[in-house]
Amino acid sequence: MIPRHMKITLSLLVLAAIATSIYVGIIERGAKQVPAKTAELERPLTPPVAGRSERVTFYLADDAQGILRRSEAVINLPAEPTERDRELLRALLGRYTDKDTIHSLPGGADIRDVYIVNGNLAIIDVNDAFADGHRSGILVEELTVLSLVETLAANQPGITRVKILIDGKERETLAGHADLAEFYDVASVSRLVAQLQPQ
Amino acid sequence: MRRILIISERFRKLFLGLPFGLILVLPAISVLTLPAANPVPASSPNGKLVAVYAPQATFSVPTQDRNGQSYVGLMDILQPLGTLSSKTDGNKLKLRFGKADAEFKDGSTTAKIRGKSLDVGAPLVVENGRVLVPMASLLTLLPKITDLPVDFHAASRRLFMGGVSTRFSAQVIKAPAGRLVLTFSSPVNPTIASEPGQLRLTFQHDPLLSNGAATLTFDDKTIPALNYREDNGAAEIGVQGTVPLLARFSADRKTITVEPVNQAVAQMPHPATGAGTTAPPATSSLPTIAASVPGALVPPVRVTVIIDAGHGGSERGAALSENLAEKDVTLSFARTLQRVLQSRGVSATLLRDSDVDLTLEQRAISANGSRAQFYISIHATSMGTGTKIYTSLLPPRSQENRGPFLPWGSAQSSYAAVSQNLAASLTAELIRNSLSARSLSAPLPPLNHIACAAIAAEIAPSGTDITQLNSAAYQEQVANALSAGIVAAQKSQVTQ
Repeated sequence: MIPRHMKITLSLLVLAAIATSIYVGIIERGAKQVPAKTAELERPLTPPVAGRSERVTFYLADDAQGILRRSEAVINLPAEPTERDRELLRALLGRYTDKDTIHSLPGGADIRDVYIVNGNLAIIDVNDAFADGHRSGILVEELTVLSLVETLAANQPGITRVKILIDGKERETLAGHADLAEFYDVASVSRLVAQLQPQ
Repeated sequence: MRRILIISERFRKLFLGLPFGLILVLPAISVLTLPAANPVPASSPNGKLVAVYAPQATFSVPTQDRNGQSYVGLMDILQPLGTLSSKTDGNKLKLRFGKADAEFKDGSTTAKIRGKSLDVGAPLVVENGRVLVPMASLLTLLPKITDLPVDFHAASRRLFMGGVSTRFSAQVIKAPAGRLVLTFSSPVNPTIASEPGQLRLTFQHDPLLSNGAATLTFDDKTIPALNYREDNGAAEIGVQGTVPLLARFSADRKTITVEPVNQAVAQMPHPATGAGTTAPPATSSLPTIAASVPGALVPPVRVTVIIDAGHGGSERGAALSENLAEKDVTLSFARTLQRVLQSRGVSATLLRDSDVDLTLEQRAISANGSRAQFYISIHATSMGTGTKIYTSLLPPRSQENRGPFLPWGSAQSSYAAVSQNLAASLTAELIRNSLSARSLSAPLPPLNHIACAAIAAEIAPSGTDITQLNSAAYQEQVANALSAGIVAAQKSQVTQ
């Protein structure tokens, strides 16, 4: 016969174990959601207010129709060229965070830096989250790359080539398809963008 | 007072017992009740392949080691052979191949084929909408499912279905010097390598079988013997030679003549200038690598179309749905396209015919090495509808003043016009077959490095049903349109 105190102990243990399991499960679920929420908050929603107002041109991807829409906006941009280009592209990413966006980017996607070399080569350095969480597919990746390159080229005259780095390093592709190993020739990109305008 | 002591004693026991109980019981119960957040990963592919030779197609599938046994994906074998559909119901998987129904239960050692139970010798594995069967059970399962005669060489992992086989005979002709003539019952396409003392012919894609003896000896000083062996999904003929040997194809690749290098070179016409015509040095010293010079005496087999199933191995591509990876759809579609092209009399080769990792550079090297007329890269997407045909983003370059070498990074520039022509032809055929299609340029590797007409086809469902991407009927429909486009482009190239 099992002593009464043992029965009570065992019952308490079983209850404690079940409660712990449920608690761990809740924590685990919560932990999975935390990075997304944090990343969401880290994403630049609006351009910084410092700097003078400028009229800029964005090329916005439309997944549904597989096109790039030309759009103009007035935003504040810093005077220093590389900072200006970084904030310009951050403002572009901000357009993809709208609720009704037609080309969503992963949570936490950001532009780390933009470097201009010899006045004609632009290097866009995006963060890991930009590439790691990007949807995979030829068209969806192509639209992202074209949107970045053409927006930068449209607002920074003299750029003839663009290279995209992920967290300061070279990668073969964005998410399995779009080439990131090569330099993008702005003239070729512009020809393609012209084909991708709404009819 | 005594009662108070008894109560306090019970509480002492209770709280003393609690930590020990927690240590012992809590982990056990937690393990049982916690959700399986981190399932045990499946064993990685072991690099061993099963070569499948069937009337419909020749291909290879990877094996996996489970519990010390080799397993193979049954659906990987059946898919290229006919119409296959599957349905997962809990730990059961139901297959329909043609008119045959089969049912597999995870962990069970029996499978139900056409209502009858068959012993498979080891537990079945049903996971991710696929069924893995013990390799040894293929000889039992496949004849019942496919109604085809099956012969399985387990040691070399070569599976012969539907009675396909290629036999060969060997004869040494002594005049003017020793010359070995190998005659095959159907055209063959081996890879040939010269090693010290022998010329090795490896038959990866041919259902080559020996007539019996593993070693044939000849009364000849130059070529004294020939060995036949099978290993890792391939057959191999090793021709022993006391001098360096070369191989020459004739009779529509049904005959291979092996002869000494100096004799072969003497019979050769003077090599023309240009790439791929370098004659090996005539030498009688051993060892030599002269015979392995590609494109020297062994004329390269011209593959008309090379089909590159995108992604593969650890590179899964897009997650099209919870259970559908892009790499599986691309391989399945590539096999369908190959079958449809071959049925139209177009020579087509798969660049990737199993679930293996291939770098973009390896794909370009293989494609260029095949000297194909067309390169078709296959991709799949859940975004949008219909099929998109992509060409390289590189601007075209004039064919004039093109030297024997092309820059690696922009090799495709010289072929931009023929690629555009191919893309236009494919798009037109898709639309003609009432399939939505669009032609675009894209920065998609390895298109820039391909030295022939090259496109990528990204296939999306015709509507919102993603499972259509994996349906045999839809794949057949798209493959038919693409193959018609390829044939039209081929005719157009010939007439230009």
